[in-house]
Amino acid sequence: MFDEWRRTVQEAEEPNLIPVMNLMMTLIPMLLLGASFFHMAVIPTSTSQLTANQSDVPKTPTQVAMNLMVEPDRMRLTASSVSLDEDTLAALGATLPVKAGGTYDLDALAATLAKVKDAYPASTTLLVFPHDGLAYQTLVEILDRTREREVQRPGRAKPEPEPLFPVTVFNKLVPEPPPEPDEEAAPGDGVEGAPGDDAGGAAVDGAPAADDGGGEGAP
Amino acid sequence: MPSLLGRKKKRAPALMLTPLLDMFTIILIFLLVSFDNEDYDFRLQEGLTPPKSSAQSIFKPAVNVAITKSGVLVERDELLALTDGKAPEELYAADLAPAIVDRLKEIYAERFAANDVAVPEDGSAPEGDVEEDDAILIIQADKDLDYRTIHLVMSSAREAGFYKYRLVVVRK
Repeated sequence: MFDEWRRTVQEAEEPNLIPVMNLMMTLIPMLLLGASFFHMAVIPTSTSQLTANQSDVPKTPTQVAMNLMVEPDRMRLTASSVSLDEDTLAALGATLPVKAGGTYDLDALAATLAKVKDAYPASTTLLVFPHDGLAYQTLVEILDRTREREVQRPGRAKPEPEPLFPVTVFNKLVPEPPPEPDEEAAPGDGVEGAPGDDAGGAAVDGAPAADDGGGEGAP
Repeated sequence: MPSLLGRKKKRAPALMLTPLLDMFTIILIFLLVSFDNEDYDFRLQEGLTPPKSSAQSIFKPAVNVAITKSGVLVERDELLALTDGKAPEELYAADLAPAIVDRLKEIYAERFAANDVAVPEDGSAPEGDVEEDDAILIIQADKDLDYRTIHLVMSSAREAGFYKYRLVVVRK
């Protein structure tokens, strides 16, 4: 009788795990098929659209479009707007030489753009003019700093991302042909999206493509 | 001869499943966390390493263009051969790759031309509901390529009617 009681207790202590194991052996291959071990994302961008009646320069007085020229030895920021005067626009621009190691000064770039964003919060458009030899990885790193910034909000433990200039429009600088001596060269000829050295110049003969509202391009 | 009274009753040997079950539970939790239930079947092109980025935007179905160091592929068909990520100089000079333009024009005509809304010649807004333009390219390009090659593809796509792009990156 005592043996029978002890056997009952022992059997109760060892549950049958075989069905659980079977379930695991079914679930694990199924999840392995759908598992992603690295996560992909996308950066929404566009190129200028060549249209006759549109311009990238914002029509409202509270917005400016920033132009970023990425050159081998520096980055240049200029601003465009239909309502601000040239002195105000020139004050928004900056020239950022590469650092000692040959890398771009992305912190200074982000700080300059943040200053513009604080002054004109409705601004969203950044026209980028990279040089031909710019590595794609470097370009993406630049866009990471121009698209959004980290903002520490009260009551939050971690800084949160906030859109900076999320609408990125790619362009390419085309060397301007030398002016012919007999003819007066028209400004902007031969330039696809000429940003101009002056801060107040219209940037692109075209309009940046509006984003589809699905991503960072249109917060 | 051993006594019948001295012989102990041996239990049948049993496999210890508890540690194995612990291990499976951990694997199961790990896989559940990394399970990706996005319905869009995106496949990264072989021989291509996308750049790393802090971007968080997710995929939407679109036309796939891959730029590797050896060629440009539209919907997995190689249309332009590259030599170490460089296209022929005459294409850079023209800023257009005719093979890419032609193929993308075909795709645009098949999938997106019906959504085009005619804009009045006087520049006023078109009448009726304007649907969201879905003519978007997903561009997956190798991180070591230079901007010149990527812009060649973009300008060719723009010529075909695509002017919005999603640059594929690996999340940091």
